[in-house]
Amino acid sequence: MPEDKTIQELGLDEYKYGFSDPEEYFFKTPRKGIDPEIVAMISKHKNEPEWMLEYRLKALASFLDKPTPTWGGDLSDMDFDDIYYYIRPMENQGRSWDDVPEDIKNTFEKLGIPQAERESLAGVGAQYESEVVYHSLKKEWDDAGVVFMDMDSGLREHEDVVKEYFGTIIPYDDNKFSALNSAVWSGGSFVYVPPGVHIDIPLQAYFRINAENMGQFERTLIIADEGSSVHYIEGCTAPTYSSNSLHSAVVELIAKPNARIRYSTIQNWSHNTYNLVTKRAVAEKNATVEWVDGNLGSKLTMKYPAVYLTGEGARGEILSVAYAGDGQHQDAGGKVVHAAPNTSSLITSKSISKGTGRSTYRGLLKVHEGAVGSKSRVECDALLLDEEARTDTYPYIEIEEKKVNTEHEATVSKVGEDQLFYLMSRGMSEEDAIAMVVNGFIEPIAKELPLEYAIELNRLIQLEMEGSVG
Amino acid sequence: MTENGIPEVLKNKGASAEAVKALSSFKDEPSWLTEKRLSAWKAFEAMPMPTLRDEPWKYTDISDFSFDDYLPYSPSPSVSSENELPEAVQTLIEEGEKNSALIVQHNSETAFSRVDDELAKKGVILTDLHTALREHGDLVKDKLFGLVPEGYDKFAALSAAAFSGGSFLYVPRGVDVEVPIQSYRWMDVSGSITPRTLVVVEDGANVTYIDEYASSGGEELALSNCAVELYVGEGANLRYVSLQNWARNVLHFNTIRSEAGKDAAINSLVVSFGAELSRTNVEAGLSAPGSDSEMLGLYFADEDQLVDHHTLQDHLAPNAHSDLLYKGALRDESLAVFSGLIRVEPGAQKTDAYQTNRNIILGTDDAYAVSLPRLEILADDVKCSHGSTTGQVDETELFYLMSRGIPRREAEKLVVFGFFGDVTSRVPLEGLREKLNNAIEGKIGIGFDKKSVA
Repeated sequence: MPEDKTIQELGLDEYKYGFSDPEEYFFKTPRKGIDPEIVAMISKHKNEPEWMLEYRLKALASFLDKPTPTWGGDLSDMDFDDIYYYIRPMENQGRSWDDVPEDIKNTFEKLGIPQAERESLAGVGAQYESEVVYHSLKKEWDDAGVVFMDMDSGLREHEDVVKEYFGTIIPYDDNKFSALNSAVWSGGSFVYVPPGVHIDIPLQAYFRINAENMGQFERTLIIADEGSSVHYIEGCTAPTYSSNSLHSAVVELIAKPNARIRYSTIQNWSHNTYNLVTKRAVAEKNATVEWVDGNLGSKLTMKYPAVYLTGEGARGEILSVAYAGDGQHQDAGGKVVHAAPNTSSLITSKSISKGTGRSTYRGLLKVHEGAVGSKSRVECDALLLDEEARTDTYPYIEIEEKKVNTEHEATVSKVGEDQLFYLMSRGMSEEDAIAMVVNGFIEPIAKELPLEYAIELNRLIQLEMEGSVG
Repeated sequence: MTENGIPEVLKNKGASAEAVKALSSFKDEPSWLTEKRLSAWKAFEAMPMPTLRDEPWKYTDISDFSFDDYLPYSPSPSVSSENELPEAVQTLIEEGEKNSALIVQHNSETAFSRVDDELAKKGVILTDLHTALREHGDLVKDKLFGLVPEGYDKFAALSAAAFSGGSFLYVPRGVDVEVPIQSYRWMDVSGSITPRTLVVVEDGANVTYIDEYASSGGEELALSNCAVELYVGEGANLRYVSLQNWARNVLHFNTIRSEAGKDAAINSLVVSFGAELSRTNVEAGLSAPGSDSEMLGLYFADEDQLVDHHTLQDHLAPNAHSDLLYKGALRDESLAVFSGLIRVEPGAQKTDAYQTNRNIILGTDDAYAVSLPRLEILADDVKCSHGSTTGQVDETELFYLMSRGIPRREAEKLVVFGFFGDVTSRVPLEGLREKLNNAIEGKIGIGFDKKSVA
């Protein structure tokens, strides 16, 4: 494919979006590291209510108290004292595209976002540094009572709702990184969909880290009220820097009875980022929650989107695709907890390991006593492209109820010689043939994404695959 | 062995460096072994007791366990013929597989052993470990503790420090042992039993070896702490069966590890029916090209039993094959844990590895099944897969049988038999199969009686 030539020239392992803009801050914490003073400073700067400051301080104590996990990925290089915990680039949120500063526009330009987005996408809340700077929302959603704003504004404008739900799905002391996020969170999205409202066009937010050693701790809370439906898309790209960055988000989803939430992510942090994310959803009676989770970037990702099926007839679905190239470790997976009768779940995981990359599926399927008639299926497929590549599967299955049906299956393989032979006998180069097999492999997940994301996913994987024959 | 001459220190509960030393000198052991036991005791004392926070013990609570509660050594009489053995043991032997060699450990000592003349002429050795150390030291020294060393875990350290009795099977190069060799471990005291099994099958040899564990039961807790080391040479075949049917007052810990030579085949079957708590590590080392391991497991947990299997298919060499199938039934308040890992080391290309765990939950709703089928793959040209299912008795199968006029209870029994049939049908040992079928029937009988009342 001749048009790939220029892409090839960029080199395989060099991060595609590895440019950076000159840093221009409005507010930055006076020093690296974290202590109660820094946390109080963040809270004060944001003009938050007292209860949020107290919450942050409790979370900080829990963070400092918890040991760094020794399971999963290697976190031994992680230096929590070498990070700025809050940076805010601009004073006000852009109300329209014209208000967005030129250098930020340039960044979006390089990412190829605005044209396609402005026209076809309804709302874009884009996170630049730790703050949402660009945000537009279609008028009809306003009319329908849909709230889609950054979390800081959410706290200001809908304090009662935030106070009721914030941290209820993921308590601050759930794990070390949820504690960290709860202490220093900034940005992220707040979404509320009123009863019976269906949003057809996905809500989107782009996230971006732009300052070296700066952590990004966005906090997202999505509430889909009874009988409503929403699709939220989170996509990340980050420029390459020499020292390690940390991204540690907390995402909470609440699907009320008969509601439906789909949350899609394509994570493409640069290859020096630690991506340690806690995502959890509750699905009430007959509600459905779907996580579509693509992990391509970062140095180490540890992320296991979870669904707690708390109402009868609830359904949870997790689709996970991971790509681990040289030096990367994708420790991803999913958790489903069946806590009510006749609930069902499906976890599908596809991973590709290339070079010295390592992809790990780590999952939990738990059926509590009384969750009669629950059905669950977990399927993991791993594709290995190089001799030094590694893949692991750790599916925990805990069943306390007999009237259930659970299945788990996993396979590991390399790209089949016969598949390659067939494609190459049709005149395809080996490289294209492998790319085609890989695209076929992730197809079940790509087809669940909106078109432009599916294209981006395929394209990113294709980029990573360049020069994979050897 | 009589009470006479037993060091006083071994008559107290628990153990110490002094007790370990006394046991070694009582057994007239060479100094290297005394040193080994002492260093293992040190390792045992230094290692903390595993807790629920330790990944391999996440579901198996042994916080109440202390070796200080158990007598380290229980003597038993040695007899000169099979019909002088305790009657219960004679029944086990009668109901068991026909054998060509036999060894019986009664509590801490070997009560009886026999090798058919024909086998002895071919150079086959079956004896307890103490005799083996005295008479065949050169065959034993390099291999004992080679696969289950003191550093493996706390229980392996205790085994290396305090073992007594045990068995050593040696099958020389090219010798084909057609009739199985049988070992029984019988316990009728509430103390502890610490046997080790060492099997050495030389190149091109063939043998079937069965370790069977049973006891008379009692009120007080008893401890069974075992270690099994299986060495199988180039092109050799070993079928190994571990049949654990202890009474309910026993806590059973066992680690079974094997090493397969080039083109060697090891077929193992691990059965866990008895004991209050049964923890078994089964690890197959596919250490040479072309080696093959079939790993079968069968368990049936009832009442408040805890049955825990940790398996490893360790692919160290290319072109090896392993196939694991563990099936278990649970009822009442029991807990069954299966944690299996396929590990393919770098360079182990053309590995072919499979792993399946299936659980069936019967009767009440209080049983708890945990299944952790894991993969760690560090080579790319491999075929690996695993599967795990947990569910209840299949209603369609029941319906089919009931529609043929079979009452529900009988139909359920048949379905459970069919469930286990996948495993038992793969073991070509008639006597053993019958024993397993009887035991399964016994377990099902009780289970469904309870259910039909409710």
